Amino acid sequence: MGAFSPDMRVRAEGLIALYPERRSALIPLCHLAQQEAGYLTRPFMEEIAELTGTTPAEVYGTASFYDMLHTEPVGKYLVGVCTNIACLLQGGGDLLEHAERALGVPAGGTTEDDMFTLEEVECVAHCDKAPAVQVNYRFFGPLTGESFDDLTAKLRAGEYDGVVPPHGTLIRVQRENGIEVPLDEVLAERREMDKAKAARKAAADAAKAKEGN
Amino acid sequence: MSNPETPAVVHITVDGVEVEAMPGEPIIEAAGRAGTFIPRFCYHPRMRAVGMCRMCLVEVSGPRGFSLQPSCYLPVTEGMQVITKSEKVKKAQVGVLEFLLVNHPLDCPVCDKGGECPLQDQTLAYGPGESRFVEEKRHWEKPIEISKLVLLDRERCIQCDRCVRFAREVAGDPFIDFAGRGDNSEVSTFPDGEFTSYFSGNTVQICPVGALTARPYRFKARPWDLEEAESTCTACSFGCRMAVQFSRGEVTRFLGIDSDVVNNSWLCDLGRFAYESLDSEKRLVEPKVRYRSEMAEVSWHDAMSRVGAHIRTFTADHGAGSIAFLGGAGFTNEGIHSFVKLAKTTIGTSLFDADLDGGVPASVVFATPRATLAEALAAKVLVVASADVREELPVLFLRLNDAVKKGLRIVEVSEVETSISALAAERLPLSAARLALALQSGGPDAERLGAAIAAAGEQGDGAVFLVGKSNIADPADVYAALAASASRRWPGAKFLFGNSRANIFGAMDLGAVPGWLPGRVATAPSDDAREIIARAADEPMLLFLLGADPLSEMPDTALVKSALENATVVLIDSFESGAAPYADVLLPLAAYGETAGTTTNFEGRVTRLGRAIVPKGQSKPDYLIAAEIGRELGRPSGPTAPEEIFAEMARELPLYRGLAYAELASNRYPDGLVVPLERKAISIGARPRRLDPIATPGLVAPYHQGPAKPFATEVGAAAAEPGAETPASPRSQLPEVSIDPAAVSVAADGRLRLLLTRRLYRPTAQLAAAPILSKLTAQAEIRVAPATLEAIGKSDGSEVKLRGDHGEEVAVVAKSDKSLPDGVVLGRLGDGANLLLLVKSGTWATHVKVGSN
Ligand code: SF4
Ligand code: SF4
Ligand code: FES
Ligand code: FES
Repeated sequence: MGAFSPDMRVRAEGLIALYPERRSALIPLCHLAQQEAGYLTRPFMEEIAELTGTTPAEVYGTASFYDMLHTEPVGKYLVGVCTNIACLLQGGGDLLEHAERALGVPAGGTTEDDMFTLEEVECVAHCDKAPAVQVNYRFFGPLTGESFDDLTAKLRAGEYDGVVPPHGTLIRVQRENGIEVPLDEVLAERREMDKAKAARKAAADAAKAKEGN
Repeated sequence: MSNPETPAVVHITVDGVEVEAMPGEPIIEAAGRAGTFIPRFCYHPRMRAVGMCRMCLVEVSGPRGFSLQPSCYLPVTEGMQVITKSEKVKKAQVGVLEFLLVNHPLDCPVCDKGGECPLQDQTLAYGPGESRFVEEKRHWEKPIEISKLVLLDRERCIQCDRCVRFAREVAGDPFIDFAGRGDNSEVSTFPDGEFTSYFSGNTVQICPVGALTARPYRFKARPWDLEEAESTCTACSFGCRMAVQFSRGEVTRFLGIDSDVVNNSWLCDLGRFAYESLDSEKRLVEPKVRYRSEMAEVSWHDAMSRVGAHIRTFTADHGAGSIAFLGGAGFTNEGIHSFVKLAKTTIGTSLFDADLDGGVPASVVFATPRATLAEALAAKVLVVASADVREELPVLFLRLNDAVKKGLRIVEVSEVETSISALAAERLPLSAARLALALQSGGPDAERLGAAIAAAGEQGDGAVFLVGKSNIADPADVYAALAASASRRWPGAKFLFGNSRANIFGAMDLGAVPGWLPGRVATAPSDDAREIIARAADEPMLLFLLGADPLSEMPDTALVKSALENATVVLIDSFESGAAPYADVLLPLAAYGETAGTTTNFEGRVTRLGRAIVPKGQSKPDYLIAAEIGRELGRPSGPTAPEEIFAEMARELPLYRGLAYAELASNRYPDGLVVPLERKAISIGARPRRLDPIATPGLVAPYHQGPAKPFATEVGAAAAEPGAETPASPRSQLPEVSIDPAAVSVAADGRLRLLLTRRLYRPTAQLAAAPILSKLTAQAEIRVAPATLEAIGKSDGSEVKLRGDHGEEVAVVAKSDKSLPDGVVLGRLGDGANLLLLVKSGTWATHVKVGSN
């Protein structure tokens, strides 16, 4: 019945188990959902709410805050053209204009064939290859109008399949196995630290008290 | 919780003046109590501070000198110096307001909030006076309907987070949240979702701008045209304090009053929007009497002659014992007192029952020590064995939700999950009957409860029980036995009773229940409502229905119908209820807001009702109708004004001794007093009363805006005369009630036990008369364990047939519910199917068969 496939559901539960609070898994689960559906469909948001003990309104509220989470359909490739300072100086603005013309959609739009969604993005830390473009969070650059057209043609033709995964696939949540968090150890360490801190404070206080006398 | 390290009070200076503050409270509160108002938008004393709006910035001393700090967020510390008026503070205020107005539309002339708007007022008082902003403001589609009752104008929203916090923290219904980011932030439901909360109207009251408006009030009035009367909601027995606001003879809205002891400013939507039905076409506004088969409008005079003739005929032919009064739990105390006098003295019948569907009877209510709400919230442990609190006493749910966060431990006894289950530390899945039997005879279930409330000790000191009828199909004896045996087992425990009928506790106090005379004075037992109805089906009877509809309020519909058909019925009501077609005389009753008087809530708190407008049409207040019937019967006329009747009650009833009508609405006792008066000091909270902490001064009666009281003011003691006798209610008077083991028997051959509950928007004549609220009317449904539906090959949400043991059949929608135990059908009353039909009077447990057709 759920939106997640059985496989993904297992993975979702694994993610939830990583956190002391279920709702902490909300954002990772959004990424999982995007991997499955490309964007956060309403059934997915509803299932995430159920899994994390929140309401769909809260999932929507959270997801809509982040640019990397999409609550409306997006194309197979999310093309982000950087127009932040380094890229701008290298022609990022012109590149965006070119992209809009070439794809026939304004920034934020999706092409008719549902291949591309064009976005204007802030610095993606690929400044050394300015003007930079990211496609489903994989980097390209520096690009000119021409090489941009070439890139999109190749993407369309499937030449990048395997290199650029469909929208939603992130390495970070692609864990086959959950990570073991040695919670006991972590807690013991914290307790040690707190104790040491308290001891230091007591010593300092005692010193102060002496001074005062 | 008193920590010896925590000082009782800390000292700070505000603008050079030394101020005493409570440890941990934010600067804004301490300064406010000392008379320095700091402007604010997002701060609300009943919710967690978030520091969202920055309107409350003040200069606060710190290790590196003075710096701007949000005074709503920063707790006071010893020696702290605060400056609220300086160049720097002024600059901050001007800046915050200029930013807020960048995108705020200037549509004040057509905004509901205009005239009582904190943004308007604070812009005037602290704002820049002009804006440097010349660009286009942001635009949204507006307004959007986030629920049937509430509309959202996102352009006006200043992102203060009050509505979202309310929904999440106070109501526990986080169906709205902020979506988007930065200047695209908006309050939003899930796409196409709804803000379905019983408490949604509160967000409108606390929104500091006109972003949230209520559909029933929208564009109806300008705030400065409104007059107001302080009153108490009578849609349930929780008794929320509220302001009835009206203009030109029409009630325009209700607002919650920030009463520390009762509702903390909140109302539920049923109470808040109840006024919608006042002006309805469906109101009963003319007296009517039956001529052959037709009802004809007549004068009061003619109607009274008919009532008088009926009373005389029945008394002569069948004796006064053939005349019975049912209902009255929705009446004022003065009306109930007048009717009880009429019945028991003038007419001479003992048949009077205000509690139509028999909850915990007065004999148990009076013999157990009653807790106040404050005591229940501060209890060591609160045992809730009652129907779903959110459905029955909605704002009590909010208070419990809050108290649990502050450390209250709740143990729930309920076979099915309720709204309380999520708050409870523990739930014992027992039916009321099983628990009652266990408490009487001991055994593992009783021990389990004992262990669960171990914190309260052997005697149960500090434990409070909330006992109410959790299954309408049960006889009252189950609940009488439950409360009585719990009180015997834990003599130190106190009790509250979850009977939601508005003034049922006033009715008990005033003798409108079988076996009792006014003032909690016991008399010979007599028939209760179920027995009266059973008799009326067989013998000639004259039934007075006092704002009550036995058809929708009592089980065993077939019996009730034949009783109403057989009896001569005088119906006194504001609306033509389901019983109206059976009436021989209809007397129009003044509705809420049209009559003064007092009412008593579930704690026994007597408060004043406000009269805002004149009764509609020919309708009259309850006490006047009783007086007119009395006059018709030749009784010398007594007092006919509520204050005079109240004075008579205070004079005649020891229970009311020490109470004065005028005192009840005074500055000293704005929230009334709990009867009988204790000669012990009670302490009330810290905050001055107000509708809203940032409401425009003048909206609230002046004495409520008066100087703040110091915290922990002692009040409440003085009113009781020294030596005044309060009626004793020793535990020795606790009745022995036995329960038939049939009440817990397991049914054979696939029959399931029926558990019947009500929801907040239960269909009533009054709800049907409310144009907008009526859209929320609950639909009847049953819930069963998934296996039950599978067994008959039905899917979730499809219609099934219920068959009772006596051949009754009801078709109803069935939902599958994983949380339900096998062997139980949870029926929820509503429109569309009459589940009351399945219950036979006089049975200990009701069983049904669920079939596919
Ligand atoms: S709608 Fe009103 S209460 Fe809600 S965040 Fe906006 S301004 Fe605040
Ligand atoms: S909780 Fe009861 S008293 Fe309070 S507003 Fe709702 S119906 Fe009225
Ligand atoms: S400025 Fe474009 S990638 Fe950093
Ligand atoms: S930040 Fe203090 S009132 Fe908003």
